Amino acid sequence: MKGLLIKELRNILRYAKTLLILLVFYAALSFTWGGGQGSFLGGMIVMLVLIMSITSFSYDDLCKWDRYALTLPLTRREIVRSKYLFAMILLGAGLLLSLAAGVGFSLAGGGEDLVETLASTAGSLIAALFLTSVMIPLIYRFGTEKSRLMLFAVAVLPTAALFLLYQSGVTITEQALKAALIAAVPVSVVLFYLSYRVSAAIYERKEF
Amino acid sequence: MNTILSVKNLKKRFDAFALDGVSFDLPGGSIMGLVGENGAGKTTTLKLILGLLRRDAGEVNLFGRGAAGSEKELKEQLGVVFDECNFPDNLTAADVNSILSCVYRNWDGAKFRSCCERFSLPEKKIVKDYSRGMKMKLQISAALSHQARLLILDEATSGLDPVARDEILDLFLEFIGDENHSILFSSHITGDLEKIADYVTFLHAGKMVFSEEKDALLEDCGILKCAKEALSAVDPADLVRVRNGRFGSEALVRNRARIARKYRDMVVDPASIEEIMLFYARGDQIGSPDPSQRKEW
Repeated sequence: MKGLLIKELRNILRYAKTLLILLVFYAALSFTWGGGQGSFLGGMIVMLVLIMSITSFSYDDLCKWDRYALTLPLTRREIVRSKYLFAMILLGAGLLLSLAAGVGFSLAGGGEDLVETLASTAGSLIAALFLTSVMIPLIYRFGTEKSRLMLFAVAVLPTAALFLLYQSGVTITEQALKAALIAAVPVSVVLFYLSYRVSAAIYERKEF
Repeated sequence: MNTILSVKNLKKRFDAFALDGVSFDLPGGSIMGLVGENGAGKTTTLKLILGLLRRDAGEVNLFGRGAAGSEKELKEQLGVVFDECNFPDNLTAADVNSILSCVYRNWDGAKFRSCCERFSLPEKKIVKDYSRGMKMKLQISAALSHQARLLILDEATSGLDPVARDEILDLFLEFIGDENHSILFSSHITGDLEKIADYVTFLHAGKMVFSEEKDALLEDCGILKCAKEALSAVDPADLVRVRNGRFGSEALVRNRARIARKYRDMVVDPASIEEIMLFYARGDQIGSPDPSQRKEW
């Protein structure tokens, strides 16, 4: 399993330079155009993390990695677990980066206070966990190409739900929003675990 | 004799193709070649052995009946090379070394590096920039560096130039110098088989035609050549497959020496594996129920 994680990390480090340039670009963008708000950068980092996680599956597809991995002394469950661990590592790195950026922005006198920054970071993290949890089983079931299209649907649904809620005239107080945010943390963690179990079950039955 | 791999009556059905009843035994210290045209079922057979596909029926026994150990233990002793490189494009040989050293209990980094050196594979170059031959050599180096007892190779030598092929075949011969080691490899390059295989298993359209010792096979098979009309004088039971050309007929026969004695006025030549393969794949069976199936060529 450690070997599989090394494979993911080494593979991703080869385009670390591109990622770094992107991050600096986003940071600059959010500092100027975003009015110094960390939430914009947080959102971009979430997207980046998600894309990198999906890309790791595309890379595997490209070289038919899985059929080779299955000849190694690894169980199918371990192969799936390595993908979830890798997603967690990416999320963790993304979290640290957006926190650092948020705090940096606050100290530099821009935009939000610390509480606001923490809240928006937590929001981004929940969104990333949610999307990853839905995406990975879809990839295992339908393949990377089809799932990429499904990602749009997955991302649009919560937005549409919120929009409808807004249209229906329900006023969302800041209090309610914060409560929802706090409640969403354990929910998304549970969802992430369930997602792993579903993926493992799909992968167990898969033929190559 | 210790059997490294035993396959019995392997079956797998797909929508458009079915593998039906493949059986063979691979003894230690030997090489078995799996031959057949594209789509004959070679890769399917290997995938069923490896558990990449679920079999509908049949048995696969690795390292002797009732060999101790979980699937993981068995895979520790297995080296597999597929026809395409399965290492991600962005990795280098050094990366492969550090990844597999965490995967295999018996990984031998020094052996891997010396293998790479022998094949002149650069440590720092990424796989994307490798030639096809280099990719194959990298995979073979990996398969040989964890004390595997069985190598399973799917078309590992196709697409390589003769020099690279020869280097790799030498390495295989070295590997089976140990009588606890065996190789199962699929190929449609019959020259490679002739060079190194001890056993030949021939698949055609999902069915196993034969699985025999190579030397015995080459000793036994012959090609009987005569005029088209003369063929009717031959006992149909003696003709395995027949091919009719414009100038005469050729037939694949078994027990070459007996046939040569029986039909003294006809020519009986030895047959190469390629010829045997072509006869089985494209020749006619005398007394075949459907004459329209017979091909003129």
